[in-house]
Amino acid sequence: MSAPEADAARDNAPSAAQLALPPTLSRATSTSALSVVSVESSLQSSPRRLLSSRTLAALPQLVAHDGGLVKAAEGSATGTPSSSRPSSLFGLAVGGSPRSTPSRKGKERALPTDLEGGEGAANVEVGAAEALRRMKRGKGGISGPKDGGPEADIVAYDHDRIRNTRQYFVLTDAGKPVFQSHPELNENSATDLSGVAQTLISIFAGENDKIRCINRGRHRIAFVLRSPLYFFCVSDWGEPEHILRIHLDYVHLQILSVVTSTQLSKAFQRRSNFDLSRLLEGTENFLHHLIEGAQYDFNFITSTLQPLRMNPVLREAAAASLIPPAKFRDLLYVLLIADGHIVTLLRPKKHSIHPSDLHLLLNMLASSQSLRSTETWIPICLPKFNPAGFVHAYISYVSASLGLVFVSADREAFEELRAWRASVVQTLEKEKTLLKIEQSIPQHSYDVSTLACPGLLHFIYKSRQLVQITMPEWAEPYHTDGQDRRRVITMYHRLHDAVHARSGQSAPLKLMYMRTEHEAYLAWVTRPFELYMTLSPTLSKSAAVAAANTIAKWVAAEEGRIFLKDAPVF
Amino acid sequence: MASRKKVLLKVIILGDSGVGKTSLMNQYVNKRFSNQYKATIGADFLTRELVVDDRVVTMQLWDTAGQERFQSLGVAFYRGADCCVLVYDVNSSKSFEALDGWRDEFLVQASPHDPENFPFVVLGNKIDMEESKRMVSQKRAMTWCQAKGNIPYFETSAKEAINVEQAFQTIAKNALAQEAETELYADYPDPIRIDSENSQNYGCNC
Ligand SMILES: Nc1nc2c(ncn2[C@@H]2O[C@H](COP(=O)(O)OP(=O)(O)O)[C@@H](O)[C@H]2O)c(=O)[nH]1
Ligand SMILES: [Mg+2]
Repeated sequence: MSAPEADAARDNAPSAAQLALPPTLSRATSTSALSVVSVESSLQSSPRRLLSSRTLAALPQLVAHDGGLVKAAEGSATGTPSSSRPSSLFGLAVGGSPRSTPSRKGKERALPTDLEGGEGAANVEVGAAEALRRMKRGKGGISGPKDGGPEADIVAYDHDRIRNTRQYFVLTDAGKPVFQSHPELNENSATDLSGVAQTLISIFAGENDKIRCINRGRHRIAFVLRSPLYFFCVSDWGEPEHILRIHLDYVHLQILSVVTSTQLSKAFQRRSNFDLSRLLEGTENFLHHLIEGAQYDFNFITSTLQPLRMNPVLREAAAASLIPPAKFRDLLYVLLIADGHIVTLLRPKKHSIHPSDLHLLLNMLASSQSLRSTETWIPICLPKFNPAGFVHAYISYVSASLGLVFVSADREAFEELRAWRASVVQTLEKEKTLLKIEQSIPQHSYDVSTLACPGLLHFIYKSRQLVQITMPEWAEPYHTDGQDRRRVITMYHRLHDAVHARSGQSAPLKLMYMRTEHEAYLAWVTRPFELYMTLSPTLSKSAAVAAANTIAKWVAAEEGRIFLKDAPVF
Repeated sequence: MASRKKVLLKVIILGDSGVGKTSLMNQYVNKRFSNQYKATIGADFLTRELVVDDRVVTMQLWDTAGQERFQSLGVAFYRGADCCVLVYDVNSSKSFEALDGWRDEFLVQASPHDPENFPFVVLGNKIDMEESKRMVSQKRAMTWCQAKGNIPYFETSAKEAINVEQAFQTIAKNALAQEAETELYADYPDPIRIDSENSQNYGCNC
């Protein structure tokens, strides 16, 4: 892959463009045979403190080479790392690599002297921390030659899937596993990995530091610490760290929606050996669904909704039928959902609804088939509304794709909400509103060709004021969840990172253009919107800017259909 | 509510350096005796599944990387342990006398909610060596164990695989007994039940 071109500007004038490669990009083309591992933590100012001599004393030196074998080097670990010989190695076991290319195998090299700088972050050359996921079975430590080469144990694994699958882990601060997204892709048990992760985290905690991220080659392990729970994710997509942290935060929120933070801290205060996985039993499905949805997501990242695209008059009519009687004092939110998209959303004057709470609700609806066939009254914690307690959701589908959700703070409200539902449905049916909404579902998605803008392949438009997004269907070659779509989403994530200066960039950008051999990308941030575009790489920059204007105009004209506006409050 | 799901037990092994902790775990998990020193990030993890009273139990065994000889292990190592195994070498009085210290260290660092009833198990290891070398009698060890609240005691050999299975079976069983009690007293509502007790404090003023 050729090095991407990138232009960026801090104002709206493309002429003032500066070259501002996001740091991640500069690495994308690195083909160093030795994977460099850096560890990033909160105390960026003093990298040397990352690993204390105390810690080092317990760590062996490792030599990693690209074939994935790691051997213990001679001698025991020494104290402070010296710059001439990077001895600050973790004894974390290693990464092996089912993914290594055979030609490189066995080409053993000394420890890296050709270290790449690490983005101003603390650099610690770790003997393969990626290996959190690939450690030798049953051992947190180094695998000596005795344990057999990696070839021996990896036969049963689908390497393409391992390569492209982000894996998520949740553990308690005692190192007990709580959740693992893809047990089938790991030869190591969550039990072992959780122990290793907890120990790693505690090494940093012992220095009053927080481990944030480990980078090795194409792999990145991001950590989110929310005692009594720890979260980490392993990814090789190349997305910025903050994307993974948002995912992990969502995993945390999903857990809180089932077990409130008050319950959690009480349980762990009482017994630090509390086994949370048993309490979450039966709700793992919500987590799996959430994670699956997060893979190509832009709603979580931008904290937005994407409502059903439909006739605004119809939307208004639906909302009018959903205005609750004044006697429902504890009613919080009223939602009408069509095929997983919000048709309308009513809320009390006093309370706005946080998008993540809404995402959790939508995720719950989407993860459970049984909610579709029966009326349900379910306690759920909406952590952004109140992490300490449950609200109750009355969920009832009026057809296979249309669902009503009434969220109340009153746990005794089931009967009255149920009665109200009957009258709501009656009103909606009288005007044939339900039928008409049903008929607009197939009209929801649109092709990028609708915009008649040659060279425009895909885009995501975020209305900053409405906190909503719109985007066309993924067209070929992005229609399957393969490498092409992954690449585009990852680029969007990088653009998002750059324009919002999420990775410590000196300032946010207003405009950013990048080009690779596959596509060109443009991010444009204005007061009313954020726009992320994928374009043909052959398109000129001025044509790209023209395309951006076309989109902005199109959205302005379509706004009433695309976005949910002026929903009534009560 | 009886859960049939697998139980996970965190078991930590303490004792002076050289008494055979790593060897015991290797013997138990890998069925082999190894003199190989495995250094790690400061802890080593072995996992073994076993069945105790019809329940599938996963034991997460936490071993030190030998740093116990010059530094404390840190609170994270002890946190949330379900059972603590104290090991000494029957051929070393010093290692036996250190047990008090290890037990105290554990109770302070792990601060289990019910220290009186926290499950410990004591292992006197290396009984395969010549009788003439033996420094700590079975009687002396058992007296200590009794005084500390009837801690179960086993004499083991990691080298000859003597009593290792039995010892770990007891470790799992005792840890599980504690676990069961927690479940009994757990008053956390089933999250998907309607009549949840914790629902009053929602803080909504609408
Ligand atoms: N004879 C004999 N030697 C043992 C036994 N268990 C361990 N050893 C030896 O004692 C030494 C220390 O063992 P190790 O497991 O590393 O002890 P640790 O420091 O407590 O983990 C090693 O040389 C072992 O081979 C045993 O049951 N019998
Ligand atoms: Mg040892």
